[in-house]
Amino acid sequence: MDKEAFEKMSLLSVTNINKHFGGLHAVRDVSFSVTKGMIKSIIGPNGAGKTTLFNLLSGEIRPDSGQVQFDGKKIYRLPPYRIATLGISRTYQTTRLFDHMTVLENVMTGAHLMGRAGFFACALKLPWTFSEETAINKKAVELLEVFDLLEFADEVAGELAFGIKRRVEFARACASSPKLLFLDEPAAGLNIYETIELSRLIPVIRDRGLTLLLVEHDMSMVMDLSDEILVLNEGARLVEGLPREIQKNTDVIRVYLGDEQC
Amino acid sequence: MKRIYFPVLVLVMAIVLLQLLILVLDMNFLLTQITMSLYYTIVIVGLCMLMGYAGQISMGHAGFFAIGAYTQAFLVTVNLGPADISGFPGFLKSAGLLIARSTPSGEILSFSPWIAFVAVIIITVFFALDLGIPILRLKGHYLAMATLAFGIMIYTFVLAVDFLGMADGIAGIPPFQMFPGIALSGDMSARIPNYYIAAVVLIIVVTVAVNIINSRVGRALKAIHGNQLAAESLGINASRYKLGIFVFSAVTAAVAGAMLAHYNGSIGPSEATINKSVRFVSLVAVGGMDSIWGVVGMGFCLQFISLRGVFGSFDEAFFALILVITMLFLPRGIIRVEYFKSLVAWIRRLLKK
Repeated sequence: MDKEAFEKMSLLSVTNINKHFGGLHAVRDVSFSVTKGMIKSIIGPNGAGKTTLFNLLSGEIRPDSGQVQFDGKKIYRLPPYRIATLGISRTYQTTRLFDHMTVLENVMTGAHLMGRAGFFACALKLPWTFSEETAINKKAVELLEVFDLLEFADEVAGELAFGIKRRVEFARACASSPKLLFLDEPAAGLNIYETIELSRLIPVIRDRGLTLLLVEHDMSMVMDLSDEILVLNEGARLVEGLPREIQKNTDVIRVYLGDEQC
Repeated sequence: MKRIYFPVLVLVMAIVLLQLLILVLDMNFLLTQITMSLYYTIVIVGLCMLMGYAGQISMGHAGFFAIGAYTQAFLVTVNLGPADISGFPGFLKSAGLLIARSTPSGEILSFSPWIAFVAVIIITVFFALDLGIPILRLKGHYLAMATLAFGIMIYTFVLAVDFLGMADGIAGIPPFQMFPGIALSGDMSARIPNYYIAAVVLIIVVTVAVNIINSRVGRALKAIHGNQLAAESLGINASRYKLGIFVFSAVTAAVAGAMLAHYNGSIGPSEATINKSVRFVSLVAVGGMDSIWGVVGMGFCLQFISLRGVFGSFDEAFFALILVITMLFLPRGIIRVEYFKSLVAWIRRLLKK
C-alpha cells in the first residue's frame, strides 16, 4: 500500500512523540497509527507510560516533541476541548462523572457539541434552542438505552455503584459522537460479571462506527477484543502486532514476567 | 418546560401578596427596606450562578456593585456646564442624552440616567473581562484571594478618589425617570411603584438565571464545577464559559448597584467594603449554593432582617457567623428541594399510620 492510501486509512497517526517529567523520560519516541474502525489496545507493565500517552493524545498534558495527526488534521499541542471538538473522546481510569448531576444530565453534557446555543440564546430561551435541546435529549435517551441505563436516568450520578458509573461514563463519551474513543482501563475495579458485560459493550460501541483505543490490564479481554496491540515498556514502543503474535512474542513475555521465565 | 417556570410564578405571586399584606397591615414604611433587600437579592442571584453552578468563588462582588453604583452616581451628578448651553451639548440635551437638573448653584447639565446605565454595563463588562481573563485560571483559595484583592482595590479607589467623594461618597442623586410616569427614586410617596420596579428587575434576572441553568450552557457550567478536565474532554471550552458567567454575575451586581444608588439617592464607600462581599458569599452559602430558590428566599429574608437593624452593631459579625455555621452543619444550605421532598414523604408516612 502506498503512503497516501495508508494515511487515508489511518484515523490517528502518532510520530515520535516524547514527554519528560523532570528527569524521567516517560514517553520516548513512540510512533503508531490507528486504522478506522478497529479496536487497538495499548498494553505494558505498570509505569510503561500508557496513561501518559493517552493524556498526551487527548491534550491534557502537552507533549515535548513529536507529531500527532488525527483525521487529516494536526492535533499536536491543541487544548483538550479543541481535540474533543475534532472528534476524540475519552473515559478515565477512575471514573470522572459530574457527581452532582443526574445520569441523564451527564449524558446530555456529553452531547454538548451537538448544540450551538451560547449564553445569549440560552438566557432568552430563543425559539431555535428548543429543537436543539430536544435533539440533545433524544440522543442522550438513545444512549441510555444502548447502555441499559434508562432506569437510572434521574438518579444523581455520584450516588451510583461503580459499575454503573462506568457505563454512564461510556454513554457520556459516546454522546459527543466521537470518531475515536480512548478507553483508559475500562475493566479496572469491575467484578467478573461487569467485565463480561463490558466485553459485550465494547464491540457494540465499535459497531456504532467508532474507532477504539484501549489501555487495559485484563489480558483475556484485550486478546479477545483487539484487532491490534501495541506493547509499551519503560515509555518506549516494544512491539506492535496482532493479538496472537503478541501472545507468542518473547520480548513481551520477558517484560511481563521477567527474564528467568524465557 | 412548565416545571422550570413554576417557581418563577410562585415568586411573582409572593411579591404581589407581600405588597397586599403590607397594604392591609398599613405598614408601608417596611417597603423601603424590602425594596433595598430586593436589589441586594439581585446581586446574590448573580453570585449564586457563579459560585453555586459554575463553582467559581468571588470574594470581591461588592467591588462590581460599587462600580455600578459609583459609575451611575457620578455620571448623573457630574456638572457638564450650565443648562442653557448651546452648540453640540445643546443638541445632546434636546436629544435627551443630557438632562438639566437644579442644584443650589443653579441649573446644570448631567448625563441622562439611561446613558449612565448603558455606561455602567459597558464599564462593568470591561472590568469583568479584564479581571476574569487572567484570574479565572486560578482555582479554590487562589481565586478567592485574587477576587478579594480586586474588592480591596475598588474600595481603596472609591475612598481615595476626589471626584467620587472620598469618604462621603456621592449624594444628591436625582430620580431616574425610567419611562413617562415611572421614576426610580426614594420618594416616600412612590414606595409602591419602586417596590415593583425592583421586583420586576429581580424577576427578569431570576428568569434569565433559570433559563441558563436549564440549558446547554447551564449543563456546561455544572460540568465544569463537577470536573473541569472531564468537561473539557467533551469539548467544553471551560475558560470561555467561566468568563461568561463571571461577566453575567458582575453585570447583575453592577445593575443592582446602579439602581440602588438612585433609590437611596446616595452612595458611599461602605457599599464597597470586604464586609459586603463576605455578606454576599454567606447569603449564597446559606441559600444552598446551587439552589437558586433557596438563595433568593434566604438572601432576601436575611438581608431584610439585617436592614431592619435586628442584629444591631453585630450585623457583619452575624453574617460571618452564619457562614461558619452553615459550612459546619448545613453545607448544602438551609432551603433545599430535597428537604421539602423528604418532609412531604415523612408527612405521608405519618398519615398512613
